[in-house]
Amino acid sequence: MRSETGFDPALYERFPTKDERPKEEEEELRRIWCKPKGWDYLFAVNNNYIGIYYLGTAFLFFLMAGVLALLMRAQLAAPMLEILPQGTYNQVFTMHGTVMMFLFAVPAVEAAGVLLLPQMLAARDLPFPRLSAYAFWAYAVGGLCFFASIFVGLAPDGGWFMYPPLTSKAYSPGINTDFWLLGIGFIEISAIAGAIEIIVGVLRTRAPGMRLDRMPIFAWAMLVFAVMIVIAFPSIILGTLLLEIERAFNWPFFDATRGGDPLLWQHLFWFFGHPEVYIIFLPAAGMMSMIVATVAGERLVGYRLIVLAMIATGFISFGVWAHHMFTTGMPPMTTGFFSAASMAVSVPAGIQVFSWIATLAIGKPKFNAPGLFVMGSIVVFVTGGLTGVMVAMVPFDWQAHDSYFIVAHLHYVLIGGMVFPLFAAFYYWIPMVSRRALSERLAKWVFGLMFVGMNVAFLPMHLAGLQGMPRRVYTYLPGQGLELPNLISTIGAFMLGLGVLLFLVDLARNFRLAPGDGNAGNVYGGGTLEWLPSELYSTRSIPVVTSREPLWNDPALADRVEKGRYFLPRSATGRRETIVTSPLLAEPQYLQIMPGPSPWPFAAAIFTAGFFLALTVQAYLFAWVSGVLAVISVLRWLWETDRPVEIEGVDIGADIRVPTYVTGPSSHGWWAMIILLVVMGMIFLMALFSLAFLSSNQPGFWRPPPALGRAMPVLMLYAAAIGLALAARAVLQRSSLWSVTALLASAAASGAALGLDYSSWSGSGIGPTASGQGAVAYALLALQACAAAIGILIALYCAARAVRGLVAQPRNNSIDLAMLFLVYTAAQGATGALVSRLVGAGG
Amino acid sequence: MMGGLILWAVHFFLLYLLAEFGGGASGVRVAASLCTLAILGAVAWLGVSMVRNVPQDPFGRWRRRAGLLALAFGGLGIVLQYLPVVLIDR
Amino acid sequence: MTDRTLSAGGWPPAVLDPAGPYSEPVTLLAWVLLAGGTVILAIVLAALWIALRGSPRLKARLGGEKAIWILGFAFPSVVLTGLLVWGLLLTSSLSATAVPEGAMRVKVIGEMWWWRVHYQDEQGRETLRDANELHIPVGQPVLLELEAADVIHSFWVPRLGGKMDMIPGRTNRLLIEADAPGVYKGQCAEYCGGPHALMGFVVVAHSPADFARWQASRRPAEGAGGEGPALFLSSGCAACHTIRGTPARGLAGPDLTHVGSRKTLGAGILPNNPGTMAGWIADSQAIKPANRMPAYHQFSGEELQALTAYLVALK
Repeated sequence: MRSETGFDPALYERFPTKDERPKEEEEELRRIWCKPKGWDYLFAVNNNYIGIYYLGTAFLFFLMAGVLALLMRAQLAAPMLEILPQGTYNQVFTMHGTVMMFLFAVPAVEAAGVLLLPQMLAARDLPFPRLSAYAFWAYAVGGLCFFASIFVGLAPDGGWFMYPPLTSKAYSPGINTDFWLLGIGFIEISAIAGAIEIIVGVLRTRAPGMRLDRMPIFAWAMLVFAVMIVIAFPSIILGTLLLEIERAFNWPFFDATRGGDPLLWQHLFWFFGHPEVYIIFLPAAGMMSMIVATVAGERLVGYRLIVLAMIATGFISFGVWAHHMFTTGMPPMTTGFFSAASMAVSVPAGIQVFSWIATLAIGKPKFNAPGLFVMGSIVVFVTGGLTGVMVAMVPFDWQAHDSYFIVAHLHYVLIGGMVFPLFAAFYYWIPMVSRRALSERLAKWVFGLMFVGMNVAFLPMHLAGLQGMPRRVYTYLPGQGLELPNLISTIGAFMLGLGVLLFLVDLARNFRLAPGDGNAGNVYGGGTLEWLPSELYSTRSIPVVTSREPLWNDPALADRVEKGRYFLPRSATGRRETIVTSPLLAEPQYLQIMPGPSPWPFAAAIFTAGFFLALTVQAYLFAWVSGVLAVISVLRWLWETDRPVEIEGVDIGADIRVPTYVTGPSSHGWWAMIILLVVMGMIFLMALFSLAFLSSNQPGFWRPPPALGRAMPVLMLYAAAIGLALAARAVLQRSSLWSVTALLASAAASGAALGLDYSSWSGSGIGPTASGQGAVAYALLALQACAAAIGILIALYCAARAVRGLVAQPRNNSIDLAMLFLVYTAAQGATGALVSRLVGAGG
Repeated sequence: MMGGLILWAVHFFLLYLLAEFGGGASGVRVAASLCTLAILGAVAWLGVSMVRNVPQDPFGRWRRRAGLLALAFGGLGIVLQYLPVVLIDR
Repeated sequence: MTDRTLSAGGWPPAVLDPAGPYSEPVTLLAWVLLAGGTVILAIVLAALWIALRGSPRLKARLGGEKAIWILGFAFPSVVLTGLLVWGLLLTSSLSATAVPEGAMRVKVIGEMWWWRVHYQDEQGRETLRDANELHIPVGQPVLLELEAADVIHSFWVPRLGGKMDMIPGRTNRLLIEADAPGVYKGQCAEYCGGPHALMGFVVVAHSPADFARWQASRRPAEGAGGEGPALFLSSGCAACHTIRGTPARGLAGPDLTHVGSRKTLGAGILPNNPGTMAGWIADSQAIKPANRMPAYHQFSGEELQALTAYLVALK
């Protein structure tokens, strides 16, 4: 077999090792990865804790948004009821959608990834534990504050899609809309952080020998999920930024009377919004594929087909966004493109469904709790998929769009495609983290009530929609035949609610948290690595993987892993650590020393939340103080990382030696920075799209941009900034001080270029509030200003480290990453300066 | 491995951008048809080269078959994507 | 004239009960999709049943990549391609890109939470203003130019055609046509805040002869005597409403020149009779909370009666 890194696969033959491992090794592992005590639970960073916190919080949001749904169904049980007043209802439906999509669905699957992936991949932890902790706390604190807005009547009321101009200052003068933008801000942060964590985790921390084609299907799903977040979320990040800027500073991005366009928001929102649906669905489908195999007691049929189906879904889902806009008067041919892609995207879904059925067919399926939810999910999801094909047909969508038919469709897809799989996953994986499994007897009732309730609630909505009942209505008139379907829906919704309540009873009776030792274990007989006996440090040793279901193929594996017969049976450096492997073939590359618990990520999250919340309630002084404290906390947490290492090479088992410090493109930090830059690049690209979109849709408001020739000095400064940043890395082997000087100079050059660019725009007479063109042009400058400011901060941080002697030579990760960021910043600035002068220059 | 799907994406966005920013109907049609032809050509070329080169190692073989699958998905998607150009006037 | 809009039993549902050439093909499509979807769901259920409880021979057939290829790839690809071709052709033929000969033209502007209706002649010049009600002749296509005055709304008469959004800064076009005289209920389909749920309207289709009579009747009514007109002018009504032939020239609210002849009040939500008219004037906020018309509790019983009598007489 070919090697990817020069690692000799023959070395795998040394495992399992024969010698007895000393007992102290295990005790040391326990000590290093010890349980937090008291307040330390807040500062824990280990995925076992963060994963559980994360999942618990997401589930709490599911329950709260579910209660909102029941309130709505009560109001709609009969025509013209007044249980919820109009204004309250509008807040409630907005919150139900927003919370379910942003605060439950995305975080829940992300949480499942954080909790399960290290176990499945037999890593000790995810590669950036403190980032996970930060992401979680920002989400939990921010999300809860956001939710609380409904108790004081300040919740957003513009729908989860927040279409301007309804959500612009003119028609939503209150701070309700700002609360929405705030709540979404948190989830954007935590989703991006989680995506970086998951991509690097899946590609770089797999157990040795776990080639991509041996990876558990859930890991594939999470990989596609994370990449989709990186591509899709920037669009909503930009959208929310622009909307908030329009509201706060009156820059008319979406105001048609001043050269903006409400449709621009719809493009930005749905370019995120539809992939979002698959972002939610794919991890759940990945769970389904894992659970189906165990339920059937057989390997998954069509593994490769499923992998490809998921990747294809990821791709095609970016070509369907405008199927939410078939009725906006788009040219028919354009609607045709989106219709075609919407049809195409259902093919991979069909492949997955029939793979699951095929797997059940070759095995002996058991009707246990996960099995029931899996089967129920298939039925419900297929129904939703079929109505999805219906609404992908443009003429039918003209009728069904924004009617209760869509409400029915989306709940079938999301409940069948995400909620039921998640419940299957709860039953299936809870024994991994709880002393007791959940009750099989109660599970039958939970499933029965949820399945029947779900269908009773949502099947009649198809009819209501065809009868002409529009969505997002707080009431309806009597005498249109809507009474009966709505009453039935309400009954079904409460049945569904009762099922969830029963599940809570089961949780209360049987769920006893035991993330380390003493969990119920592999009660369903799964074949993947998360079912190895594990403690907080994960498995005692990290096995060599030779198949997809190692536990089924090698029943003695668990015992040997526990006896330390594989990789890393001890802590090689006396610190938290995990093996970093190559992306394709998972050959061991180096040992990553991981950061441990710290209060700083928690503090950073609290201050981040404080910053956004204070901005929303217009307490500016508090906001800025909080913001500065957040930045300081982040820098403080980073300060302890990337220290010069004492031990350069270690034995990770069987005399295989790897380095403990690696720089350049093979280091996990480099990967994370590249992903972050892709996110920033996508935000920037969407801003350029906004410029082009407005220039083509509102040409009447376009004025000649500043002359291209005037941009020459700007471009030259940016070129200098790139050169200086590259030089910083090169001169590091000579002197760390020279290196950081070059970084500072690069940051300064970018800042100067930005200043010049700004003055050329402000001298052109086009202001940010004057027109959509001005607004986007200045938004590009603002984005650049953010990048430049962060660049300066990073350069200063590196300088401080160099002064304190914390920059190791000849290569150092902090310098590498600063270099990458500064090169990107200058490249973005130059592109922005060029394109903003070219768009509409002719006309 | 993902060549087929990348080609689908390139094709999709080319067609969308042509329709969004491209102007006149007949021009868009011709341009879109040429795009589709070129992309289908690339799909065919990729397919032929993948069929011919069979890697020795198991992972390489797995990747190759996954790549062929991606071509199947992508190819179907590209054909579907082209239909509106033929069947709809703007 | 059949009026099953406000009293219908709910079956057949409006989308499956088309009344014109722009909705009928969609209904056929809907039936085919519903039937096809049911058949495919049955196939999946049968496959699932076989996987769980079937004979070993059938299970073996289902349990392999070949079955996935056939059921999961080949079959959907064929069905979807067929459907797509049909859908695209239908999209092309129903879109208002090519306007049919002799189409009647009307501009409809969505406002929070009612509709302005501007009838136009063939050159697009405005001929008549009205609100919350659209009168059309049967058998003649009607080209609607849809605009929005404030936020996004969406124009939807399920029995006559699909919906089309009304977006600030744009003019969208939609074709509708009725085959038979009748009253067709319409509704705003895009969430527009506040009482979006209660933003309805009606389309009234007349035979050509009736339509000519209706057009001829669109002259300012004589109006009743009594206190009504004076109250209307002195109480602030005229600041928002226009009644042609009087000094009332307000533009913020619906034109009331023919309010007495409307089928509905409050934008498609109440039947129009003296009782509902008086109730609406006295406290429209109780009926349609958050609408832009304030409640007029200050009128005495006699004043309210006089005002109501005046308005219902504006035929």
